[in-house]
Amino acid sequence: MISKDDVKKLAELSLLAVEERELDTLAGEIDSILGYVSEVTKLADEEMERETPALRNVMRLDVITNKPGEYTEAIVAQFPDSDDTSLRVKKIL
Amino acid sequence: MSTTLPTSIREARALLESKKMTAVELAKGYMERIQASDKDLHAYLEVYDDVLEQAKQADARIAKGETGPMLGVPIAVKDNILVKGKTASASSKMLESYVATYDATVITKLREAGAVFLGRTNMDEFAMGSSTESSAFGLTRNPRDPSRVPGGSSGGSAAAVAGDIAIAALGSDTGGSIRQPAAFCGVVGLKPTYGSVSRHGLMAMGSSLDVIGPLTHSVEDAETLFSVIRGRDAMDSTTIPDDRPFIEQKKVYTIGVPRSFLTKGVDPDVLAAFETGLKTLEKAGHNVVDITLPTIEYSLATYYIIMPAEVSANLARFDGVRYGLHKDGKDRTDDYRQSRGAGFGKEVRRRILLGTYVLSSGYYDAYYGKAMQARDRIRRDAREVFKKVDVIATPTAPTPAFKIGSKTSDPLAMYLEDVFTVSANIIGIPALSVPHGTAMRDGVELPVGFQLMAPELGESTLFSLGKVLTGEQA
Repeated sequence: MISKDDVKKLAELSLLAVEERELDTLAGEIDSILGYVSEVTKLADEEMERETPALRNVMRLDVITNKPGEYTEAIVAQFPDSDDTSLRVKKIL
Repeated sequence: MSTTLPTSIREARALLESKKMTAVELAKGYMERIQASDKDLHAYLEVYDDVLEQAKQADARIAKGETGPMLGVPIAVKDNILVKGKTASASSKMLESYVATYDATVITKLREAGAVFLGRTNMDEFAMGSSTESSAFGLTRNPRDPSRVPGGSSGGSAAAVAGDIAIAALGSDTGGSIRQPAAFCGVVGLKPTYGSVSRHGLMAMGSSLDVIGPLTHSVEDAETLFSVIRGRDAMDSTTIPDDRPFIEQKKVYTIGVPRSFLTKGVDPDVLAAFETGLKTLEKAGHNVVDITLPTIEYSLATYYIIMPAEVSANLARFDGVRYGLHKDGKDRTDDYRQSRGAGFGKEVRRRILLGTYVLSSGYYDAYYGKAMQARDRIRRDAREVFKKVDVIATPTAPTPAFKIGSKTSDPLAMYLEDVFTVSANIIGIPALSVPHGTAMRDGVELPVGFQLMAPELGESTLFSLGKVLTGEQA
């Protein structure tokens, strides 16, 4: 059973503010969904060799694909708070 | 004017090609129609302010003698696909004022092909839902019966096509989000082979499942739109190399029906319409056989572990720091919490929490690990079945379009809508939903969708058989 406290902990882990009054409903809903998805255990086969499918999610190499400054203006325009071309955030330390 | 507007890509192209209509006239006609009927439907979140400008450019290209399957054709775009300089909100408060900084690859391809983008369509928030009711910006009504949902998550795109306020539309499909709304609204919806269409510029939901595809009036139109948007893209490394051949067309196909899968929880009218579809295929000379594919029944449970896990990871990027909604909290970490808490709606938060749970230490093996094993088995069994049959047929959804509000309080009931569609995403294969037959509800004939699934790159098989079902081909 998923408890209210479990939901609180999950909310903390996922950095998500969840209101106190929502906790019970969420606990109930998540519990019923987990109950349903637990069906997969009937199919899971520990012995079976895992395979890498031919079609799978492949991440792009982390290389620069744009010209310097090409998107700077457009990206800065989306910043909630900025100082010239810098992103302004709260003090970290 | 509006009565003479073409409703398919083919008709539109014929009119434009023969100079009987200009792209501007066509775009204007559609804008007038949107003005007249979208107040009630709410398929669009925004109609772009440069539609006529785009149409003028298409006319200039036509005047120069240019031709092409999408040149001058007005289409709608789901709100999770980026169009440079336009708001892309994924129907979420989180991105209410987010402006796309670049074009998605599908948009670049369509722009090059001369398509005219009418606007962005409503959807379930971040594509999570099966009714478009989880949009932060209001619901969309089903053009066939306004008291019912259009399906989801690409509900706005399906309603725009069905309501004749777009010739065609783009959607995205993670677990049925193109096919189920297509079925509910009585249009054609294609979920292409995973990796056949670039997702660069599509907001990621479940990255091992997501694919962009068309919603159209005919199978031929879906084929046309697919041919324009597909292909290898250096910006999405998941895309399949262009030299990998598609499965060739045949004269006679074998259609497999997983009978035991169709016994539980399927509406009798949906089942009856499905049987008629099988007869139509048989009459056209194809073979219909029963198949056993017991593992496919576990697709939904597998999906509702893998998808939320990927959702929780993909949506971690929305933190209110670089873009999107920002809410001030007590400190930096609380800023994240407050921004995410205020920006995400109920269904999105539910899935993030669920995904966090199945990935958390202590539960990972019990849920995510098991789901990955199950996915392997489902994929393997499907591969075996495809040695005997060319396609697998099922209804697209277990019910016709349901009443607005009837499933919003029970997430599990909403999830069951995806029971027949998620398999194709779990396996990575293409699937097509075509309207075939109806179900009478409160005096309204509601459309029913017939789904065909083919092996990887088996789109041409789907188009051939889909055309038989819609009557486009004998």
